[in-house]
Amino acid sequence: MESVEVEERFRALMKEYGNLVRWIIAQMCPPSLGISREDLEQEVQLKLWRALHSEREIANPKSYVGRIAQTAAIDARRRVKTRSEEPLLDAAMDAEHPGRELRDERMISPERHAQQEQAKGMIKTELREFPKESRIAVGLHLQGYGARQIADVTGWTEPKARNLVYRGMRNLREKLSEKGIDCETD
Amino acid sequence: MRLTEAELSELYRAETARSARQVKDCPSAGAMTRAAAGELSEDEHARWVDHLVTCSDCAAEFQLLRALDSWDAASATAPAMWNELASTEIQARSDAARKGWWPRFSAQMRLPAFGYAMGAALLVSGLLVGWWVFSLRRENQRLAAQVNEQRIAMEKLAAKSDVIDTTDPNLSSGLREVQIANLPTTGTQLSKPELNVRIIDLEPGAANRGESGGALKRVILSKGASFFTCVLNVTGQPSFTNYSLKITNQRGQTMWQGAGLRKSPDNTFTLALPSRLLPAGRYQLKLYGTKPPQHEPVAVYAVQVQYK
Repeated sequence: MESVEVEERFRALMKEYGNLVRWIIAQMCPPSLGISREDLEQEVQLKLWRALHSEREIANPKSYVGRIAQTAAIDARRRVKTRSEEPLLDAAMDAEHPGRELRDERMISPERHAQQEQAKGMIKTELREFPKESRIAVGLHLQGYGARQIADVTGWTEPKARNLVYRGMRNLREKLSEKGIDCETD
Repeated sequence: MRLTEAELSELYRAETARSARQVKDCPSAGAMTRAAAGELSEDEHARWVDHLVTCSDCAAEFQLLRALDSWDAASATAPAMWNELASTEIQARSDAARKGWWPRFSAQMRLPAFGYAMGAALLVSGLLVGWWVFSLRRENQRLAAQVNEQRIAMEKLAAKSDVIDTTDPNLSSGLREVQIANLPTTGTQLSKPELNVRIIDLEPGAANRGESGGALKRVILSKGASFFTCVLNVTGQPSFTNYSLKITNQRGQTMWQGAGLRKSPDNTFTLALPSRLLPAGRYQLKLYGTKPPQHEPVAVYAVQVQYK
């Protein structure tokens, strides 16, 4: 493809899907992460430009452009987390994991902190012993997934996912209780 | 130790965070988008699900992607305008959320809905102002017409009043009206020969003796008289090129003035005055002589006209 054609194609795609790109970036990169949306949009444009130059066949332009934007947004999020910019990281984590703020608000004692560190290892170890489906269901549940989302990821039915979560959590509480950690049910 | 389920979940996520695991085994962003699009093979998918269980960061990112896909699928059927609206709104609100009142306000202003509302408000207010200006203009025109009518009526009254004022000030207004009504006004009367026309000899007073002029000459005319003739006598032998006359009433208002008078061999000037011009009252006739560049009074005559 000649560069004039590439440029025309690029402009047409950005005109058509520019808003989609901005929308994806806005959804995936909340302001608390401190990611420059303009820079990210430019990164997406650059990737698209390169793809057009490499004469790659684009069967579904909308899906393709959307995929580029998603990939760029994920990479940007990962870069931010890797940089360990603590204030931004904390803010981002708070936004994504509402439970996190509980720990910060309660001003936990060193003793409590040590107990929690111990509990972390126990949860992971106990879960490793679970049957595969139960482990996946409980693991995803603890990652914040609902029954429908678990079903969506695993391909199970929603009732099956809910049942596995219920039984698995009960099992986990029992195991942790045996080790001195009492878990309340919400 | 007691833990709530939220704390349990939080501890698990912290334990399985990318930074806590110290292992760089996360699939690439591209692989994640493929997983979200359901493009993984069975084995890849199984490994992917296993990874999600053990990586809270990937789990969170995947959740976002899945939500994005569902929103995108929903928006695919919607008109492009709504996509644009949603994106603009999200951008504006999220930018404004971390700033002060002014950025928030300006972000609101960037929203298309706000623009439409502002446009509609401007249109309505423009129409209202236009209507107000139009009604003001109509009101002004009406008032101007009213004032004009009043002015014309006042002028008519003033003209009538001037005529009446020149008559004897002791006459009642009713009498003045009757007197004016009795003056010969029609063309028929004026086109007939008039018999027994009064000829009045007027002797001049000193031209420079002010308004009082010379001795007051009383002229009594019949009510039916249309004209009377005045013979203006002058003293000396003035030798001006042209002569003109000015008739003023007792208030100093000019009743008539004109040039073209010629001196007779008898050293007099004659003129016939319509009685309509001079209702009852006192008048002063000033004769001027002109010999360029000179223009000076020659004689002044004082007359009191009465009708019987």
